[in-house]
Amino acid sequence: MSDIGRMMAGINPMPRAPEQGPGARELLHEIVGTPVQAPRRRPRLLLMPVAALLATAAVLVVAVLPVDAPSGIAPAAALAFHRSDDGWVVTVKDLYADPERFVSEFRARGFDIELSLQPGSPSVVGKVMGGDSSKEATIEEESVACGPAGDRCTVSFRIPADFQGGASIWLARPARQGERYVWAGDVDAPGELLHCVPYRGMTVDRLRAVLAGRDGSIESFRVMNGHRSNPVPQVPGTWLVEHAAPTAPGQVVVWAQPDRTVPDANAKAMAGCPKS
Amino acid sequence: MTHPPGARDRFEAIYHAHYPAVHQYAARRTDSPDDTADAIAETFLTAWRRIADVPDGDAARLWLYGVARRVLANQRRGKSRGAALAVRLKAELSTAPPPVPDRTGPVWEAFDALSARDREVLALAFWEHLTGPEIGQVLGCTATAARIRLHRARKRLAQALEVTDHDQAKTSAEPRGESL
Repeated sequence: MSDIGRMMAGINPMPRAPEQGPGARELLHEIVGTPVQAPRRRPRLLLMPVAALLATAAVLVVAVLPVDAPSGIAPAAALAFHRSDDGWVVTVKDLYADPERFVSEFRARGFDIELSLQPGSPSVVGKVMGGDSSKEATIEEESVACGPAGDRCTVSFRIPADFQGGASIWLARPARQGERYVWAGDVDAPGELLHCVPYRGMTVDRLRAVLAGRDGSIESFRVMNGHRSNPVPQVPGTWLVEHAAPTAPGQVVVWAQPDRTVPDANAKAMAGCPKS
Repeated sequence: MTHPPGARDRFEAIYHAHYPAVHQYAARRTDSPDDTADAIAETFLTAWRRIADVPDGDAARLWLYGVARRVLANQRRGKSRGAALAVRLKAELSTAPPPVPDRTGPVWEAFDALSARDREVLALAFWEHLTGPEIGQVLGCTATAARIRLHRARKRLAQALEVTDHDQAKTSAEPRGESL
């Protein structure tokens, strides 16, 4: 082996393969339980400059619409495009629009972009939660503004001027009544049910009372059983809370255990919270 | 919409076969167990959603590396927040002792001072033990481009460490003026 090879091997941060622990097994079950989206389509776009494409579209619109066509026949656009210094700012005007409408409105601007909006917990609404692109993803969220009830959100994101290829973007939108979250932030993040609540290590009864004071409740419990955790309908109120995660508006899933020591991870989450 | 029958079995087989490699790939490139767990979760979530695109055999590992690379790039830009997944895994990784306790010393310093591009190609070659064509698949470039990138990265690391890279002397001359 060369010197460089030996030196690189010497600083390998994880030389040995890790074993799959219970967390890895649980992750597998979580992943296969997530909803599946339609397969990604990659329409072959003609390599036509965007300006030329728009000019063509404008001509076509003029050509096919009768001069006395009443305005408002077409459904309102689901997306609004605005030029910015370094690209486009796209505002999602209809968070609940059919994904096909997003695709066609992007395509009309010369973009091969697929937008998927799925319900997310309050702290992640408007955030780009992931996606896939033919290049390194460069699409970033620009802003999100919601009404007082956390609904009627306006979500914008930025597409850089040098964006090329295709992309799919997964964006979190507010959950509608009865919907469960596909994307969830930390349950103690700002805007979430347990923001500024040092819930780790609390008894289940205590957490239940805290949640009730915030119009929330425990939807379900999970308890470790060997290599993975299993859902259980109830646990004794004296058990200790290990973790929690938002599952739907006003509801959380709680990982609880009878008596094991819970690592104190509250301090980091409580940074910036009022001292009690 | 649901995946066709058999997709779940195929995903589980891919997960079990490549979980350690993806875990290592992520852990080698992040500083925190939370980021490692998020990267593992998002990489396999992408694989599950795009199971029809995941190639068979060992090519799946290269495909997963490519996804993980993009996930980590997003993570570094603060643009990835992860799904409501891997809570247990995060707890597990945060309480496990780090495999290598500190990242200090002259080799680390020289490695850290390289560009992200150089670090990635060196890591793929010497930590993931990939060949030139395999590196090309992960980076989305040709095998030749990957070899040239590796050649240049090795040279820069050797210069920083003031050592002679003997393997380097045997490789062909670097094409002049080629921008990769």
